[in-house]
Amino acid sequence: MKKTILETKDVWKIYFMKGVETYALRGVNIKIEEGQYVAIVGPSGSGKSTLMHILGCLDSPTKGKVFIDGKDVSKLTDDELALIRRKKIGFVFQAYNLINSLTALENVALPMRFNGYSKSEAFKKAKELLTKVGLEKRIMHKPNEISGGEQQRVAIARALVNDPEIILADEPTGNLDTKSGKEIFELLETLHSKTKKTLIIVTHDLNLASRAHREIRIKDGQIVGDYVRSSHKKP
Amino acid sequence: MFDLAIRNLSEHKVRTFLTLLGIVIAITAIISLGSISAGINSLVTSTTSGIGSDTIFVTKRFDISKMSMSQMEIGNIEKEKIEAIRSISGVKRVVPIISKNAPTMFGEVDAIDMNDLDIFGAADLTLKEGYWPDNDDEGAVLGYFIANILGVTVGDYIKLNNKEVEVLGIIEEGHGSYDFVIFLPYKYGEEIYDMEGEATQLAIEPYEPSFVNEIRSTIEEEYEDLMTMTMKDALKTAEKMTSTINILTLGIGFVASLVAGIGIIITMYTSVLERKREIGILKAVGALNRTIFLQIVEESIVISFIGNVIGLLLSFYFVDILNEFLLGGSKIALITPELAIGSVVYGILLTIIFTIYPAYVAVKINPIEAIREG
Repeated sequence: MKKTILETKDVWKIYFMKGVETYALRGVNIKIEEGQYVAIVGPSGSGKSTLMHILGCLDSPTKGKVFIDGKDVSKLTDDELALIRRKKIGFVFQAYNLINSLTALENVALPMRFNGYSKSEAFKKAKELLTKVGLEKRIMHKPNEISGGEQQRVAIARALVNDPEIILADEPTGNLDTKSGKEIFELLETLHSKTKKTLIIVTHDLNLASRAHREIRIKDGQIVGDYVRSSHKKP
Repeated sequence: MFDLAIRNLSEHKVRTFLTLLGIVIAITAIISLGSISAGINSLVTSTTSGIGSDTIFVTKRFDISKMSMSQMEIGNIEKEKIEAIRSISGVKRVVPIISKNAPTMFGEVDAIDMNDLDIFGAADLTLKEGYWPDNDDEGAVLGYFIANILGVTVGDYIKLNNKEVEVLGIIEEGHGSYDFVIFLPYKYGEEIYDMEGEATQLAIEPYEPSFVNEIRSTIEEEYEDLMTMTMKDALKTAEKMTSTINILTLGIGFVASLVAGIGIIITMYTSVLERKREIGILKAVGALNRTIFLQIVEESIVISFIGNVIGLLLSFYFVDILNEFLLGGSKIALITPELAIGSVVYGILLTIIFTIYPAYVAVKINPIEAIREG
């Protein structure tokens, strides 16, 4: 049996705004194994982004526990969470979230610099990854000089630079046209099949979600479905 | 991190420039004012060292609070009183002096018997050109800088009390406050200022140092309108004055630096708010709180350092102008190494303090919110 890389135990997220309680997650239990390719699907407002943020250590649950690689991360400080994000998680966001004043190369190298590597080491690795995502001709370009699809490729390269165990992609094709969106999905899938990293994609596109090995459906903050495709069932 | 600091500053050139300007003005103000302060302090010390500590100075009573800096003239001591004081027991010598404002911003005119210059600590002053007049001569000896400020040389005329006075000699440079004095023979001074037999101050030499107190109390008891002072008292008064100047310059410098500091807060605060998304991204990909904090502080130190260096260079230039045009080419305004280094260190420390709040705001940015807004 494969090792569990991500696990939530009865996770609740409640927002308190002007005295009103809003329940974003209501007792979510998920177990994700190392190397799995998972799609989290749900309509907008279902809590899938909140779940993504909690799985990615960007946010902490109001109640319940989150384990990454067996370690409880639900009560950690800002800096401790930042360290886990830096080492174990690579993010790909819908809005790319690149830094506009930096070149593609520098954007990709940034998390590695935070991780203590020298500029030249970080640049070497960043160049390799940019080549892998097909952007070897764009490394000195700034985000506003390249297309949306290319920006998302830079973001994917950035997500991989610290060699994390988990790639979290939050609506990675949401800002792209169908063709570029499909390419990004294919790129993520290729990387998954080559590197065997855990890949979790949040999407509202059922078509794309159906390509994943496992599909988790979420609605009103609760898991309403969890299917493993027969071709990827555990032996 | 990849010179983000410099890039962010250069992306907002106008804002950076205006902040820079604030810092430059503050530092220039602090150093320039400080240089005058430092100069006056050293002038006071050098002046008072030449005069004997037993010498008693007598003037009319005056209220220093009712006088302005430029009009420090006091009433005349009458002829009869001068004669009476000469006969007080223990008095060896009474030197009447007519002290008036010089026709320049700094400096004074002293009419004194040419044989009594020693009581003023001025007997050994060598001349750059011209000659010391005899008591019967009509003319003046000018301190180096006063001659410079007035732009005169031996043979020229200056105007004192609306009368033309010939320049007979000019004292060599480097005699502290004597660089700012115009000496006249006493008799000629009487004529110029219409003060026959009178004086604005008396310098009294006692036979013995132990007579000083007795002589002082005799004079003050006998003449209620006169007051006496020794060099020690004068030094105290001078120190009081210089410390007032010091407080004033420090105060102006402090206010200027506060204004510059508020400029830094505003710049860094708006910069943080504008870059909320960028800071959120840095956090999302693993930047620690202290990395964010240092990034913001680093940015403001870059502005501050540039501003400080420009301010420092500018104040050297400014102080030169001050010395050249206001102080006759003297070196009164003085940028000491302590002043220069102290101001820059102060400027940078201040920057760090003023950046704490904006940097704290940056640290508190929630990456989820920041990224969602992007």
